[in-house]
Amino acid sequence: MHPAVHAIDLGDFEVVHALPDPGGGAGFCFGSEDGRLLLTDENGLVLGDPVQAVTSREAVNDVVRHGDYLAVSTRADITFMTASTDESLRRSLLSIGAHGLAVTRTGVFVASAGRPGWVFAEPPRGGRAEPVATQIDWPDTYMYRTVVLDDGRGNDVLACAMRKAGVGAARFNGAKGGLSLGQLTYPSFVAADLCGIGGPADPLAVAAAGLDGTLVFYRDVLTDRDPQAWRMTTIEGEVYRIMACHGHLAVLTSRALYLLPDVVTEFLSAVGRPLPARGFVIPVKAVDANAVADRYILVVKDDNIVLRVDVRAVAEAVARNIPSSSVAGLGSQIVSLRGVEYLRESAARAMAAV
Amino acid sequence: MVPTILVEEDFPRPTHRSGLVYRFTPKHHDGHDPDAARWLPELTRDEEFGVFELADDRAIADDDGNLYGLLRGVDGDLRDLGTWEQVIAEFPFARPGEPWHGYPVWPVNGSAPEHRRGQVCRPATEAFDRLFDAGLISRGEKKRLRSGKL
Repeated sequence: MHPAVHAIDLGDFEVVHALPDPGGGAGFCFGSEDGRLLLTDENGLVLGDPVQAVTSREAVNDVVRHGDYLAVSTRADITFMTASTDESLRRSLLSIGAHGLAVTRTGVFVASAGRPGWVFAEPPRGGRAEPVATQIDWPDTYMYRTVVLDDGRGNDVLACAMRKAGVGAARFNGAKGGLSLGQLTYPSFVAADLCGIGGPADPLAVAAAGLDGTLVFYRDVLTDRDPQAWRMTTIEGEVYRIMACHGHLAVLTSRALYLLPDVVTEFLSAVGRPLPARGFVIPVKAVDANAVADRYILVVKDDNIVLRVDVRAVAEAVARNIPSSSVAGLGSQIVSLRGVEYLRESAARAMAAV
Repeated sequence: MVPTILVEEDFPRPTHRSGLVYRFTPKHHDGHDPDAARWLPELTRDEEFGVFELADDRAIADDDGNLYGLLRGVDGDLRDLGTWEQVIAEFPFARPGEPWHGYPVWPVNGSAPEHRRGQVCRPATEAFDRLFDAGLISRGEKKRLRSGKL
């Protein structure tokens, strides 16, 4: 194995999700198939016993923290956890399943709930015992993965991969008054995932990945109607994730992890640059992956091994032509996406908490 | 391609193992009910029945007796069964002598419409264990399905 790739063996912990330590430490957090969370240090050394975060024992698919609250989503529910005064965990539950979570600057948790759209949840505060939830949906959409972007002027923007419904984006000033969703659909494009790639100059820049390896780059996901797009012609498997890390881009499929050096940096600094001819490819049967600390990609394998891929080291190896069986030629072609644009209003509906 | 099913229609033969009759229903084919999960129009009647036959043949049932099935493509990958990429179909328990029907199930449960409150709109957890134990899904597929990932 390439020295930039470190294997973390979690033994009989049936890991399905990996993320940065939500407590802000340098280590990692892993979610299991039966609703537990496990913390490790940066090298994968286990720190304490797993915590049964989800009482339904469903598989963890996302964990997000804001302030004192940790939200854990599964396909069945969303659990809000906070430490009570006696140090025990206090939980409250929202009985709606989600594909994943995001959180706004003001602490509104955004659940991508599939056909039911977005669910906006505020954890119990100010004497309330239960979370408050609002639901907004649009016909023929499917909220699968959402990121929250700061537009640079202190406003939140939600961008979402909506599978066959394409890519959606909305300004968010609270959910109660409803939302206006900008939707871009393309023929044969199934939006599998997306990630924010912008810096201070392009805070709303987003890269989206289609199921077939089409990568779409928006300089401003709210206004860009002519995004650059390439199709990775040598990609194998269905795309699961797209992740930006230190100016590089990583794409996880059902067959491999593809690391594309400097793609984000070059997209933000130039126009029309093709995808790199060479990249780093790790054949792997993965369950999921996540970017961590602008340095690592954590790849969750199906055998309870997590690969910690040091993206900076890998990109350097590719740039220096260091011999490695993992460095491979990558084919790509520019594609012209003729999108259909919709602007769709929808009102909010209050949801019962449990 | 299956023509839109306008009236209920039974498959010409019952399942081999249990002799269950399978009924195609307009609700899960014609798209008139926006809340109803819909089979992919590209799926043939034989293929849809094949999903049910597999579920019965391998006894992939949850604790309530509902059956679950799937279909693999020529590339070996799980095939989409529903119009929103659902890859598992549920066949709710039918009493002896009554025909069965089925529909693709969402990977996550949403807020069910008012008339379906109380229903669990996702596959039961034990269904994934039984699909895995029967060798019909891999460990990685089980983990992704249990996580509600498409």
